[in-house]
Amino acid sequence: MMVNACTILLVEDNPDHVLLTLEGLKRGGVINVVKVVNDGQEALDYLYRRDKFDDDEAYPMPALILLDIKLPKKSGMEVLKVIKEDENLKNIPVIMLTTSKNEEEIARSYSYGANSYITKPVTFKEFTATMKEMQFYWCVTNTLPPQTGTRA
Amino acid sequence: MLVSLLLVERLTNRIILLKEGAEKVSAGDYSFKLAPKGNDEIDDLTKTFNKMTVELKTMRAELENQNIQLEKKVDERTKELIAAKEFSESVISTAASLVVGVDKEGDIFLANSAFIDIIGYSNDELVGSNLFGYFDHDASGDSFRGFILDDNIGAAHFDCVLRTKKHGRRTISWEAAVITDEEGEKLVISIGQDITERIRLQENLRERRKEIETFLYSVSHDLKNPTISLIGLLDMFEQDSLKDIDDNGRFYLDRIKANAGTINELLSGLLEVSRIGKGKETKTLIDTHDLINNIIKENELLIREKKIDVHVDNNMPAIRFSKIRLYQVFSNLIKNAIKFTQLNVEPEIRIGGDETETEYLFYIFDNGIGIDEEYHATIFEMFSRLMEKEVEGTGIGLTIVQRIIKDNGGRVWLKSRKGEGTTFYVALPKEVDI
Repeated sequence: MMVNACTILLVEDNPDHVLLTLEGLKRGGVINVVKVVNDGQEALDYLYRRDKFDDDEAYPMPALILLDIKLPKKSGMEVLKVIKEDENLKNIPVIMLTTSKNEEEIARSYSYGANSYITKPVTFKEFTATMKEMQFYWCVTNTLPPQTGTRA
Repeated sequence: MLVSLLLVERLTNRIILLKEGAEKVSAGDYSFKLAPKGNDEIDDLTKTFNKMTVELKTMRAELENQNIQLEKKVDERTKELIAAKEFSESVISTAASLVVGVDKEGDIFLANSAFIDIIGYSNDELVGSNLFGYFDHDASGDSFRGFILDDNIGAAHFDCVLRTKKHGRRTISWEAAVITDEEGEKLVISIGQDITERIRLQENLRERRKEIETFLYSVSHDLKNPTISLIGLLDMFEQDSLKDIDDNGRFYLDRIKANAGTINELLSGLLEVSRIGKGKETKTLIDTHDLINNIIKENELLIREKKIDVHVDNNMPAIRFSKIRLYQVFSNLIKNAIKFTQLNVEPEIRIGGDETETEYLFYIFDNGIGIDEEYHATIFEMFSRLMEKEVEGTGIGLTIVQRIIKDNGGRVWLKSRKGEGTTFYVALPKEVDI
């Protein structure tokens, strides 16, 4: 699989947090295409190719989703539930973004099928550590050559 | 013949006198006396009669005296009884508590004015009516009804809701006792308190508390976002402008970063406080010795820097608890012990635990600066640390500790004197049913 074929979908409503996440990833050397949507409904529209998102070239299906828990319109939890209950989407890894470690919230995300979580602000260090934990590291960074046979 | 006739007549006269005397005496004239007229049997009889009269007189007097005494006593007892009855009646009728007496069917035979006032019907309407008719339709009165109708003895406590004429639904807390009347019939006397207002206030209080906690949570949460941005942006700024910043700028940047960090910690603490007790916390069996050693390891850098001698007791109980909560408890207490060491004393921390039949007991001792007794009461309050500016900290750690411990039915307290170190104690109840 081509490294640059791994698009990341970032679902985040706070513009500063979007900026910081993009910068944090970029400065760490993550060169993947990151697509940004600002609320839960938009995230689902993107994933279900609705309206303007019905364009595989401009809005490629993501190989990874970074999903904020607190979102307008539809919460991150609801979006997560929809993704993990959909046969076609459930294999896309989802990393939940939280502002503080909340045991109950984290437990709930895992019970809905989240693959991992990151406490904001998202730094490259934490991001790559999480990727490693998910054995998904090869897809999203150019700092290491792709490893074979590591995908779980 | 004449002589004998005369003798008979005299005898007859004397007997008649005796008869008349006996009649007088029997009529109550004990002062009546017969004059002896000769020295014969009749005269003997007269003397005996007179003696008997005197004795009778004395006996009668004694009897009368006893009667008077008896009547006096009866009078006294009656007065006492009336007084006692009046006393208990006035106690019952003026008591702020509701008093109601019912028979084994629940029919009312006694109601005091407090009960009459609450229910709003007159005494005549109440007496003879059935108590259960005033019970609310909810199930709150079921057990009280059962106590009256079933074959119960002794006393019991019930809370039930009554429907009243003027005051709507009132929640009454009853103490009911079974007695038996003179015919051996079961009666139930109940004394009640109107706790409607108390319940309303308690609910208000609970609601206010909930509001405050929700407010606390949403404020902390809303402040968390810009704080996270602030920290992230400062990081970016530092990375980008590192070479352009001189020492002066460096100093201010570090201060800004430290303050942003404190705000972030504070907000995390506040969020944590408002989360305790909400949601389910999974309990697992935790080896407290392992947990505490891990916390020591996490703080090893500071411990080594301050050359603190840390000793953890090897024999510590394993307890069922939420792991993250127990971690928070010990982590906060241990960090405190590490933080508040005093100069010129070789710092020492000792941690141990034990168990009694009902509780697990842990202690965290340090020989640090100690806490003045005047602060012991307020130290668990939010931000109490802010009073002592010389020590860094967010002032919320002990609040978190206390919340967690209290939420789990335990106790936390301290023994400390300024300059003489501090021991924090944590007592957690053993789970009754596992």
